[in-house]
Amino acid sequence: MTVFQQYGLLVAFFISTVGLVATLHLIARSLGRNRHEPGKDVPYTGGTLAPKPVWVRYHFHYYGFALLFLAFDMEMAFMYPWAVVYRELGIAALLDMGVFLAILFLGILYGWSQGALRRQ
Amino acid sequence: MEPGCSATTVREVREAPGGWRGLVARAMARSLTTFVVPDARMAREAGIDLAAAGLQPVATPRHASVLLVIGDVPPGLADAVTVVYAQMPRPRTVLALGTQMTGLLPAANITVPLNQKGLERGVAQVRARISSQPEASADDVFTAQVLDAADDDDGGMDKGEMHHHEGNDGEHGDEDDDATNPHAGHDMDDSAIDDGDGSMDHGDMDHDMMGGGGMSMVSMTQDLPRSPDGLPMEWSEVAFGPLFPGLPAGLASTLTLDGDTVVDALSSGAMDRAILSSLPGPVASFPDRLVAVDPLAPVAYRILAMKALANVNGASIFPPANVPWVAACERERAASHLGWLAGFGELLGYDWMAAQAAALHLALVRAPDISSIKAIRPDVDRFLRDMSRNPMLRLRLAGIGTLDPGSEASGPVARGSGKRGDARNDDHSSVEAGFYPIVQDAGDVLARFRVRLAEISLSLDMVAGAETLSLPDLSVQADFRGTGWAVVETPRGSATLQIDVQDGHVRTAHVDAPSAVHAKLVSQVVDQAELADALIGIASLDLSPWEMDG
Repeated sequence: MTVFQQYGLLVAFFISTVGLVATLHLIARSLGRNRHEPGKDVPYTGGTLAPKPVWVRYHFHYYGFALLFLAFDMEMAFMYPWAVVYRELGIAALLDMGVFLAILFLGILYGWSQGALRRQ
Repeated sequence: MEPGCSATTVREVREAPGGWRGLVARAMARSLTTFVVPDARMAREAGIDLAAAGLQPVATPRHASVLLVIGDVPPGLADAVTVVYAQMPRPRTVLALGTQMTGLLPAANITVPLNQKGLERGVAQVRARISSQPEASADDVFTAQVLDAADDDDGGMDKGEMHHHEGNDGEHGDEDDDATNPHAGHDMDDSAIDDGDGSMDHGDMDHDMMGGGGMSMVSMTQDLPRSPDGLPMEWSEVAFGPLFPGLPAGLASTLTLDGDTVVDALSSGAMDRAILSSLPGPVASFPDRLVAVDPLAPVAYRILAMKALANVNGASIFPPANVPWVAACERERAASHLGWLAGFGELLGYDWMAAQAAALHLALVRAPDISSIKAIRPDVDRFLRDMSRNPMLRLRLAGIGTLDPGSEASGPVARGSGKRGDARNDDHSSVEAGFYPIVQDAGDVLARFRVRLAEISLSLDMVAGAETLSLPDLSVQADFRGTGWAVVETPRGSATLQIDVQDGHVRTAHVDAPSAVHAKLVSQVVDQAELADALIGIASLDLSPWEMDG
């Protein structure tokens, strides 16, 4: 592909993206403009008006899920290439992965002690 | 067109929008979602099947295109209806069943009688209205006084006593040159406040002002009491207002949250009808007036009125047979518990349970006689078996919302805490029909849940053994006078009535409703509970906001 063709492709992508966004915008506009009314954008709280602004700090409860995700997903990501070469590398590979899994297992044990495995 | 139903108002010639907009308008008219006021349970109590009429009830007005109003709106809910209507996106229609909505904002667009046929006619008119609706003109802006508070910027800041933000305006002024500060001076215009953005930028400002003093969480939460888990979190008061999905409509609850645990809660009835002052009057119509106190338990209150009148000076107004009362009362108890289960399932997020319970509730409410109740019995039994065996419910509901054993309570709330108290213990005809008190000891949400499940089964057994569901008529002597007292076990608990009758008129009537007593238990039930558990605990008390009027 010549350089000209490559740049041409890039320009075509750019124009299509802009065109898509413009089309969507025009479709939305054709269905009626937004009108600003009092109380329209206040979050629904069962019929009362929520105080504005609603700034409340939340406890980062889902750190338990983040921990479990790291423990399982990251270990899975490393185990995929390891699984390919594991047989020819023998016992050494098994022990190395075992150390890795043991470290991550400590993370799971900590999550368990903090209730990350509890059904909520 | 029958009299009593108004057609779509035609102000000028409406031409159906053609082309693209017409296509969209007709598509929007096809699937109608509705937000029900007061709530879907009241619709079922009136014998109305929303799905059969083509309406799908939704939990928030943001997903709704039809605002369905069932019966007269109590004065306390008028503001809530206005706010809810303002939060509905266009195209929106107000469909009023059995009420004219006089003096209320918004006015009803379509009015029909309160029955299934009326609803179906109303839905057809709604579809015609939506598919023929031209684009709303620029001056069609919905405003109301209660909504003006939403634009009050200072009000937002003043509410921040719990948020501890007052000292920070000066510091924000200095940070104007900060590239990541888009809300300099807390400039709130009419555009939507994106809660996610707000909290994220808040966090950014925290980083930028580490040494800035006022904004650090340590100094902000310094003087606040610490919860038992020791985490210093921000306190806030949140309203789970009158029209919250899953909680009974009209129950205005204010929860004080410490982060995401609930520290305290206050639940009050928002109906504001002053119904108790309308009770005195002629004796012949007194049962009808007492029934208006709680539309969720009309039979129980009618029986209460009749029993109190029968006890006045021992005058016997009614035929001696007591058994017909039992069948009607127990049918209402079973129906009430099924209706409660539907709302409880919605709050739990267990859609299958909510849908099944709602279908059974509607079938039981609509059943005209005892044989049709027997016909739906197998479905009810299967549902109750599935509910009592479900391990997920057991895990979810056990150990939360525990009540102190010494708390004053009645009905399933008391029987779930091990007390055998029940007004039917002393009622000879109930005991003959097979009544025995169903008691669980744990005092938590699961115990109350199990008590109600078992009571559905027992009540339907008692109905099956009876002869008729109708109540006897009331005939009054002219020189009727004295004081009377009665107690009846409503589905929620014991209700007592004390009346004083002179010359065929009820002079004073004093009602003690179970929900007024149980409302005081709310703070016990939510104490140090996570928000979801707290809401489940409040729902497990089965409060009726209609009874909680002053």
